[in-house]
Amino acid sequence: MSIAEKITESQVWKSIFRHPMPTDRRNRVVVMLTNFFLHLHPVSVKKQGIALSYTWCMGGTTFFLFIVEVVTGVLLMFYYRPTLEHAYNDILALRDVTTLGILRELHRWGAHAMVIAVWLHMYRVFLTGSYKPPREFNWVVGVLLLVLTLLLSFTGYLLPWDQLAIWAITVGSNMARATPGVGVEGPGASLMKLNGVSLITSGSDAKFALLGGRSVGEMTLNRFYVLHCVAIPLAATILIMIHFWRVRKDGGISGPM
Amino acid sequence: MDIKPDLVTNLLDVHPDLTAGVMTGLAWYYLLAAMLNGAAAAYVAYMEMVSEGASRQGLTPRSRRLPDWLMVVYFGLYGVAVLFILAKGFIPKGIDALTIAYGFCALANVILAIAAGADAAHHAEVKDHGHGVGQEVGAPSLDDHIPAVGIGGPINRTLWTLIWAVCAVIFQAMGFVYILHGEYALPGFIRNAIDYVSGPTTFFTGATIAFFAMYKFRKQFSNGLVAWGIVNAFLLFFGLSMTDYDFRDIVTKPDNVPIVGLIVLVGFFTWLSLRRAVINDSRMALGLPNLEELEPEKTLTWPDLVYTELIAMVALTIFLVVWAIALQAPLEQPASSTTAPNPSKAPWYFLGLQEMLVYFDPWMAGVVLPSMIVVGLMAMPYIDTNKQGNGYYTIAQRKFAYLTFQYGYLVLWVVLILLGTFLRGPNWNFFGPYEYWDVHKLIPLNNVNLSEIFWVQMLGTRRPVNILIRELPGILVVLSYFILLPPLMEKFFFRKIRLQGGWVRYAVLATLILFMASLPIKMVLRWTLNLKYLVAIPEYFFNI
Repeated sequence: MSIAEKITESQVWKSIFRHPMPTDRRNRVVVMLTNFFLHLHPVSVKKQGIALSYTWCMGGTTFFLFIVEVVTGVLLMFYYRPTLEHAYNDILALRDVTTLGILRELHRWGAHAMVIAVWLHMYRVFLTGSYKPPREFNWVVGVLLLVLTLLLSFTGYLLPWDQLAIWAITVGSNMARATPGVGVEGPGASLMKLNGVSLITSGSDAKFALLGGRSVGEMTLNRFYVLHCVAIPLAATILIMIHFWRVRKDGGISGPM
Repeated sequence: MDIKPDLVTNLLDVHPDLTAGVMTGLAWYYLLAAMLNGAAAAYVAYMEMVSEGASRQGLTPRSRRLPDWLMVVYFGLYGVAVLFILAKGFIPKGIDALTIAYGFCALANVILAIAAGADAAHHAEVKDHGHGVGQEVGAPSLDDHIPAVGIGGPINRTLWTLIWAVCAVIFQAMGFVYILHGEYALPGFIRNAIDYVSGPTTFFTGATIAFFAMYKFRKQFSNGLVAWGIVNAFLLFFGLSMTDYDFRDIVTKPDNVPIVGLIVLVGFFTWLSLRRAVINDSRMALGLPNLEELEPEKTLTWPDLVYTELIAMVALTIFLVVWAIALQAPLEQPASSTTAPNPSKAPWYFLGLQEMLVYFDPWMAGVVLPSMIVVGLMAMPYIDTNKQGNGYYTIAQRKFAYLTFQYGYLVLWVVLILLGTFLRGPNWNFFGPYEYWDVHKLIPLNNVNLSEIFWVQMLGTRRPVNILIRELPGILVVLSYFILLPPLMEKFFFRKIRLQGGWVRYAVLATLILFMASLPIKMVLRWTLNLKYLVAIPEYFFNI
């Protein structure tokens, strides 16, 4: 008995994987059913459905980039403090002092790549008509995931707290000021009055709610940090689970009906 | 012009078109372009381009192999080049290892291109099927090649091999110019001419025309040789443009690099999907199964899909790590709420929306239109009642949906992002690709509101004091746009769609289409009438 066989025949190995190496047909089926990570997939798939020229591999790329963002993001959180005092200097230190100084690069380029991958994934899904019944609702979930991806990227943009960051967020969040009805410079806001007192002011409008202040400041940094690291990733995770589950329930990878 | 090292030019803050670093970069860039074209020439000369075309003719799809001597020489020369680069530290000073390595790579490219061209020309004289020692009867001919269904007539292999071989040699020659410190930059008059004709109007109109031309000539466009020609044109344009300081300055900003990648990826996938749709449409017209129906059988997920995923993950990881090492993430001065940069730009993926601010107020460009995009995307599967085209690439079976979505994505989203990123400078003024971003550039603002045009210019009176009367013309225009147009559109264009989906679906569709069309309409009104707002009630922040 070789060493490899000894390992795969041991009680520890069997307790983890519950079956031999997937080298024959039976075990290739079993592995997909008994492995937690692999059970996202069906046991067998349409040949046409996994052709790269058909799928462009963009959905999987997006998911993989999401995982990269989670892992690098958690590592970055060890180094970064979201306060006016520390934020910028922590990023500087990440670049100049820290071992493996490419952590922030991986995170930032991964984020850009993820935005592009989401767009291309949706582009492919549209061009192949894969949003059509029975996959309508999963397309809707996908659109929500697109919005969350953009929001993740947007909230993360502020965290380095440099000139690029705060002015990009200022330009972006100025739009909230113009939200009809609830933005202080939006149409209809001046009509929102109670006994002659304006309900919508620069201290109570949509932009204030987004920024936690009248302009981008320390409360914004805190707010965006929490959104970026906790709230949106949680929401995205739940939607990703639904998205994958529905892919299976709606008939797997799309193909000619 | 005297060439200084990059560090010196940075310290002096001068703006030279060419520096030593740029020229080295360009030399290797053209080496890559020559390598790609050499490979293209060899591919056309030696390989079966689309075996599907041959098999339709009853011929055995088969490939010729590159001659052994060519393989040995080509990879041998590249191997020697790599050795020189690796051994850089051991080579005595005074000998430039990189330049020598460059010479070997260039030699390999040129030999490949010339050999492929000569081989194709030699075989062009052999017209019969099946020739040479050991070739079975019925092998595809080498001079003409039959492409896949729908991609056009037979292709002359000799001609196209020669074209790509010549391209390879030209690109390689340009690379040599730069490695030998030749200071060639794009001539100033060409740059000025391009800057002169550039503008939001020409840029957007050109993109729209290009989009519809791509659709109209999709059979030609989806031919691999035409597409490769476009790739070469892009490579040449990019290489020449990089000799301009201002172009380089904006394109190589770290956060703009992903957009260059976006252009390449969107371009490639647009071409690929169009090609598959053209092939599918032609196949289905002939009663053949489409490409997605060719392999209906199932395969086990382990190993076929699991391994693909593993390889993709490894490749992506390597790609990200290389990108992260090669390009540092941007970090500017610490945040200061008092000194705003000019221009202040949103993150790149929102720059299409920021560009819309030129034509719409923030409440439209920043709130209503983005919301309509999201709502419209979510509504799409419910208003598209066309049952055809589900799960395969096709244009013929869903022209309207295909064109509308692709126009929205490519022109109204991606092209506007490019415009907002690369061509909008200080004060959001338009700058040509080679133009210096002058903060003091003055653009006369003579935009007028519709109320001004109607009351003052047309009726010759003063504008009424009452806001509602003053803005009545604009209000009527906007109301009739959203209320009168849908029934008219239904009558003339969308009868079939309305009958299929009913009035509710049609009303949603019409509203979305009208919102989408409002952007190009507003653009055209701005360019032709200098129109600022149709309805302008700044008193209530209500401007349309």
